[in-house]
Amino acid sequence: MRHENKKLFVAFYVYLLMLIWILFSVFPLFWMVTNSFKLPVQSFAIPPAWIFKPILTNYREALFERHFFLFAQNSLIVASFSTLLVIVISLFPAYSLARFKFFGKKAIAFWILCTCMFPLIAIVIPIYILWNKFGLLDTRIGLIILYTALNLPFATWLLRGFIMGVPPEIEESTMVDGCSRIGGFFRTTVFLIAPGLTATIVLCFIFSWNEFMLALLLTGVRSRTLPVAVTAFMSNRGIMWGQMCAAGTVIAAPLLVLATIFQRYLVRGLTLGAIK
Amino acid sequence: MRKSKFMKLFFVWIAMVSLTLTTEAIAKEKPYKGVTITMLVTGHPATEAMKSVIPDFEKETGMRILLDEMDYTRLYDKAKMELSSPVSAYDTIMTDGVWIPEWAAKNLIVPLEPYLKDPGLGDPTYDLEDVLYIDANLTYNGILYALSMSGETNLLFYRKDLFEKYGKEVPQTMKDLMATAKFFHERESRLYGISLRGKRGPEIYFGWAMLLFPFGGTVIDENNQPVINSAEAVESLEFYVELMKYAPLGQSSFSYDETVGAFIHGEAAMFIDATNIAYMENPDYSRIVGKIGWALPPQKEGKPSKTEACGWTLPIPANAKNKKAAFKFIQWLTNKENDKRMALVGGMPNRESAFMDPELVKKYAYYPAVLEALKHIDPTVFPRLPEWPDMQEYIGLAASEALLGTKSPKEALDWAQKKLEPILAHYRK
Amino acid sequence: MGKTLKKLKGEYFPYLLVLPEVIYLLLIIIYPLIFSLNLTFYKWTFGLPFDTKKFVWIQNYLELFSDSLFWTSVAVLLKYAVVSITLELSIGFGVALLLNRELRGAGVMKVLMIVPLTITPTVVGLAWRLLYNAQYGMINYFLSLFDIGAVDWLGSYTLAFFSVIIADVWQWTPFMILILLSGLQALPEEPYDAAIVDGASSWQVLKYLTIPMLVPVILIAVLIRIMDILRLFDKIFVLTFGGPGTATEVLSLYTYRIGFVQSHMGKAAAASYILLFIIVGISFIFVKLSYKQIEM
Repeated sequence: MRHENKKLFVAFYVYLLMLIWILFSVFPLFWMVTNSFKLPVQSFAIPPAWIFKPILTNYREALFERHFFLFAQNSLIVASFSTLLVIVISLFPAYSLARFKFFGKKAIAFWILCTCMFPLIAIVIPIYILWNKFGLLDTRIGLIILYTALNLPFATWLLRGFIMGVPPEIEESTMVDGCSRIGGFFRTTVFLIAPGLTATIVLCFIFSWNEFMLALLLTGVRSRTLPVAVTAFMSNRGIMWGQMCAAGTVIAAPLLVLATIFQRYLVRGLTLGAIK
Repeated sequence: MRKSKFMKLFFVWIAMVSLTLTTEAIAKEKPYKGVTITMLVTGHPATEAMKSVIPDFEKETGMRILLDEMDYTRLYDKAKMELSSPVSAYDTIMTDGVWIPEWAAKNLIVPLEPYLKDPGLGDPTYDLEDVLYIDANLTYNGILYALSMSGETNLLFYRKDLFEKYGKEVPQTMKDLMATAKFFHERESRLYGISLRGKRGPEIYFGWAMLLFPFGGTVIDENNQPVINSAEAVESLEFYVELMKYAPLGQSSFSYDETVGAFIHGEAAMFIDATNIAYMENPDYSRIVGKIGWALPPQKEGKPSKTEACGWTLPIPANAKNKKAAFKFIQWLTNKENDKRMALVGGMPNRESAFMDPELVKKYAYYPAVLEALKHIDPTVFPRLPEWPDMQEYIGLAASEALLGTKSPKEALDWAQKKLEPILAHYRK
Repeated sequence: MGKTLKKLKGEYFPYLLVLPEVIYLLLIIIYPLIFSLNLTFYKWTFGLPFDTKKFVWIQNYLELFSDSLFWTSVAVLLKYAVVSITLELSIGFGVALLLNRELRGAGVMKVLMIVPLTITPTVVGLAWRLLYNAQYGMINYFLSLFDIGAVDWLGSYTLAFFSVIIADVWQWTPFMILILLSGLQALPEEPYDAAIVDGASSWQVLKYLTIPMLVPVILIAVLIRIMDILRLFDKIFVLTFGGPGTATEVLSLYTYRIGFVQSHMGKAAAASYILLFIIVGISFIFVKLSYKQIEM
């Protein structure tokens, strides 16, 4: 009897703590989203207006009056294409590092990992100068090239882990049928790592979408991406909270959708990648 | 099974792309016609006023004005980056007057007199003499580099209703200022004595400078050498730190918008800052419309009243593509007629003629006060040196540390002095 | 000719596969890094043409080392890293332990928990700024419900530091949770069964079994987070921009300020290189530790 009570007690506490943590995790976002539907005077009401009539003014002003769609397009294009490039380029080294034994393999793998360690601010200045010279400033291509480079090490490492999780015998069986090593890979393992591949794609996309420093310094009005655009609401007249919350919601929404749909893969990707 | 996962991903991507494309179609972006001028701006009442008059210009000339609105705090860094590129994305930039010397010295912007005098381009009725902020904002070494978009000076603003209610006089001296602030502080719920800027950097310098100069302190002497740790300066910083005790909570991170916000939300009895009065009297933002009084800022006993002049200007980058078209635009925007028009919709006038215009004066009772303040400008409040942005960071940090209490005012200013000396060393004769 | 081709397909094949990526990284990352290193030996004012740069050997480094602001930014950065990671590790571990039980709705919980991870850091910064607002923010409102006076989260020297940490911990703890959870779930059963037989308390189980077995995972999680935290920029940029005073001025912000606001590019390059060394140094220590653990 007492044991039963203790179990209930413990379970209650566990759920309570989890609830607290989840509320904490969700509240800031919730607040931002609800604020985006309020008028400024309501946003700053004390006590806060929990029940209110939602309005779309903020969305109208934020989205339609500031080239927002251009920025959204830029974000979409830059994130998509850089992710595409990353996958295309990183599949091969990932395969190589996963399957083959060759001299310097450890060193190369380590070196690739190292290239994602440096602080962005260390390359911002030379990139700025170089991009200036090559006319890549304020271009989407300029960003795509950079984001690809930034995501390559991470993607390679992740994909390598996933490939190593598939026994090589599967590819070898296709080789018996006359395929080359790599052909075998594309016929079999690639599909088996689909979840991991999806996770990598989603993670790279999220990273490119959210990147700020390079976008801040290397883009102008033509190629600006959303994370930078949202800071434009910090004006001389005060932070335009309503509009900024609207913009913030719009920026976060696609990623939330992605995360929800692919959450299982994301979880696997993040953890597997880390552990391997 | 796995193929369907990929398809899922693909469809999500397609959905996102279509969504942005269709909603953009709804937004109805017009195609560009003729020449397009791109302008970097920041959110400000003057920007809003400008937006309302721009359509007329576009209709008249067939030009299209593309506004890129940027975050105010990083406007400087962004603008400088554009100016350093081979070709700037912007044909004109909404520029704080204090940045002009640096950009002019580095030849990042072009002198404007040639355009003004150009018979095909210059407007003979422009009347440059009418513009009030020339020396304060628009020139470097006597050469004109920018036109005035929204010039400002500073005044003391106070709540007429509160002062009447408690029978208080408008403070004239610094001692009175401190006493009045102390009096009103927390006298009513959510009421503070005074609202002043306090955020590290240019903001806190602005807040403090309005006390620094009336106390007799300065940043540099006649030889452009720093004297930021003079006895008067230290005294004024101590006064500022003391005065900030009667400011709203959070003042040490207040930039202009929060400082003015506190005042117009009715939380401060007094407010010394830029003469952006149309904004304060705008019922869309302000809860104290009609309750605002204004006066010359207080001075230290025995010393003359001093104000500063600053504000927003419009230069033309040296690497802009459409310099002549840009000039045509900024000239139009800042001529007599449009100066008045923008003032009517909430901007601040830049011309004496506007300040004396009967229609405007009737609408805005504070114009004579602003003119009066302009007579007491001390041009050295913002040294017109190319090194100023660099200097401002150190001065701003020193003042911020004094305000936070991590250093005493004397320590902070001694530190700033040490930082400024190498920067200005090359001016030493 | 044919022999080389055969070699390419045979021995050299692995290298061939790796080559495109290596070249790409060399061009886009390594070359600019070397360029940056070169720049640290020059003085160049931002805004002036590039050929006005002056060779000054190690003067930039000397100036940095004698600048108290520089050391402050390093100190703030390290303090920040230690506090953040400790918090993330503790909370993450706690939540992971909770999730390790058979909970109903664990799937839903996991989805909700991931939410912070995906949000753009600048949006996170701005959302928290809204919450931290001294007059109108929700945090102060909640405190007022308990009769606690308004707190100046972003304006007070000591508090601002923690305010930024809280926002960062909010965003990244889920990452810790996920990693630690999968680590926990991968632990073998037998030691636990043996412990129950021996009559160990849950506290003892935790201390002597779980934690030691998780050390490799913990190390890796910490390593990944450290590399990220030391590069922190976006959130602080939006929340406080280094202020008030120098409370939140981390090294990357200091570098930005020196280079892009005060125009001393050579010095900024030098500062960024020092940050690079710090990151590589600390990461190296952790990698060595992890390898040692794996060998154990």
